[in-house]
Amino acid sequence: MGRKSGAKVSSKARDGAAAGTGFLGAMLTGIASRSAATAKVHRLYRDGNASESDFEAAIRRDSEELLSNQSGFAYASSGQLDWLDLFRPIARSLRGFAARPSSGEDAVGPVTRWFRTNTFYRKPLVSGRIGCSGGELADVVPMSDRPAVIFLPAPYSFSRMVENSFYGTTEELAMDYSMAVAKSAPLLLGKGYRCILLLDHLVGYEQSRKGFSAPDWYSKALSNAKSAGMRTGVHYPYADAGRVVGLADPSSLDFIGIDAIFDSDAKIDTSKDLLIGAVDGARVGVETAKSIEASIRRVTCKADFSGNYYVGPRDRLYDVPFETALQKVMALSKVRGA
Amino acid sequence: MERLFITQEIGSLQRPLWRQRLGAGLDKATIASAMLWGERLGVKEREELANSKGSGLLQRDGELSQEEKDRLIEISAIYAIRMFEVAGLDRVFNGEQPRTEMYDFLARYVKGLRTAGVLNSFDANYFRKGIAESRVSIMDAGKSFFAGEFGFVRRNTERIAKPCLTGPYTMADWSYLEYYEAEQEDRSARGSGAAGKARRSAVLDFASDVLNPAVRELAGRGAQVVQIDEPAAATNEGESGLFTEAINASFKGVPAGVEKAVHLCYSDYSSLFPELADCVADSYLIEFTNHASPTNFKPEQVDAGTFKALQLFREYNMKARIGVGVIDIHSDLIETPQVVRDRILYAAKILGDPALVQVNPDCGLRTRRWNVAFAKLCSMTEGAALARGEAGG
Repeated sequence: MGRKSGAKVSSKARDGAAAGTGFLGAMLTGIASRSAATAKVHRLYRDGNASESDFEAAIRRDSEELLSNQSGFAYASSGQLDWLDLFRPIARSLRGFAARPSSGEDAVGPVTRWFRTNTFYRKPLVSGRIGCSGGELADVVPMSDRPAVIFLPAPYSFSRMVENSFYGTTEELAMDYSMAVAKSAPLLLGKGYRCILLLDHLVGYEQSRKGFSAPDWYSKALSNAKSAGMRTGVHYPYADAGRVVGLADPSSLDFIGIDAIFDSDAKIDTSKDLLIGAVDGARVGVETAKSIEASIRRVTCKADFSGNYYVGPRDRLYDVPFETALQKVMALSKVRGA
Repeated sequence: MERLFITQEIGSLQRPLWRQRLGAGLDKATIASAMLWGERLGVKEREELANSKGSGLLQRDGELSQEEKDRLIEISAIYAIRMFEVAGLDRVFNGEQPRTEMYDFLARYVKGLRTAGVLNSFDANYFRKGIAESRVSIMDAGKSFFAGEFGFVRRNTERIAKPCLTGPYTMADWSYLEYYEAEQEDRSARGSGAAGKARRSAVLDFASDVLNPAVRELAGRGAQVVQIDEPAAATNEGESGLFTEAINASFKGVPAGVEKAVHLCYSDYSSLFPELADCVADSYLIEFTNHASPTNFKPEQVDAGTFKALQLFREYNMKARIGVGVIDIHSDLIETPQVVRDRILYAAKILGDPALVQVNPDCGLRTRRWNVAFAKLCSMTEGAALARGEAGG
């Protein structure tokens, strides 16, 4: 099977570091927060007292600061700070989404709470067949001179979190969306992106509410999004890791992201690499490299997996102030594996 | 007896352009805009902003004194009050002109809270999230602030003044509860629901020691209605009992004649039931229009799940009045009076009694520029009048 289990994995990780296996490095797991200075410019821009280029410049400054703290990361991220939410740039660029041209902004659907947070997103309205020519997603992320990661909604969450008036089934919607993701890969590669991280927030949320039951197309939709030349993974914030790894295990994805802070008694059992979410993006206390490494050990010592792992936050670094997010990124950059 | 379909705003209104640009140096067009709005709304204090002698506060070259800055804030509050009055609202307040933002303005008056930094909420809306470093309680300066704010509005309007305060559940939910979490960990509660116990303790402290003293202060000063804003109410399923307990504690000791109002928005309201049936609130001002079709604002096209909340109020025989959100505050599209009328009558039909329906925007209008906010409010009051005509009110 090629799996490593239990304590052997920790050993493998340490031994494998020199051979390029074991600890693969860090990466972020979602959109990051913006600085107070950028918030001020954003408000001025909204009120017509600053220009779009002022806002863009502020975003660029924050992105550069965020990137400058990611030394040694497996994949860098600018934090996708200009994305007003995880959906809008997708709905604005891919085909198949309704627009609300008379609203005075790029509004495409009702303002909806982002799970259990004080943040909101515009629910996209799917009014036609989702498709792309291949360059749309590359147009909404900056060029990167380092191997970079792009965050996108996973097909399952995407299909359930949009409003659909076109497709007869969520399966069809999810499949077309995942195909569009895969089709975007070549031009994303051209801009420096080497990793796609699909965020499946809805799985953990549904687990905690009334239980999650995966549709039979779940792993196929993930496989559709697997892109040539890109490491592709799926991440499950606020989910019971032992119960979610099996969802993505049959897919052709390269790695599975788990929430290492979420209590789980179930055993992690997968043939794939892991992304271990060991930094809390919702708490203001800053982890140390040592505490992160301890969290990693708690996972690796009892998991059956490939033996290779990334580390990152359990969720986006959006629910802490920018300065705190930077400190958490710095802590991640100091992690050397379990 | 109050007339049918009384109209009200929720709270915030964008700062007028002249106040937004104050620090950046005002050009002639901005000053002219201040005068035009002043004239349009009948604000006699506009002469203090600019006049033919060139001595207006907006015409000064040098730095303004603190007293002059405070007066500018008062004048912007008068502009807001007049806008609401001219639009025809039955209940008004100051557009939250003296406040920073709905979390921060209250947090500044809470002992035990320290600002951690700025977080984004939606688009250009940000808030300064606080850390609870010790038990929270309101400062005397806070009670004075709310009393002063209310008194000012009362002196400047004949309409009903409806003050609003951010609620205990939302204040706790939007704070990092470091002190409360540490307290539970000290009690060795870690691993046995410590986080939930910490949240409960914090929410109830905000209710009894922050909100309740402020609400009672306002009631004691003659407020006929006090609104508690709870946008976070339904954030965590399974805490509707705690939410209800916190609202009840916030209104504890408030005389029966004072309308106890709660504002809810952008949530799955049905998750608050059945516990909400035990809440002492007399009215709930709720966002509904956000879920409407973007191209055709017919009530039948509103997400059925949204209106399900109205059915729940009826199902639980709550007899609370419902302030139906008929204006989308995230769109520049101006709802027509006819659409507003249809929505009001649709809500009345679901509730089974038109006397239970009040009319308001989905949420505060801070997100919209003045001309859009004003047009929306005018449309809302016209729609309410049309609905009254049909309902025989």
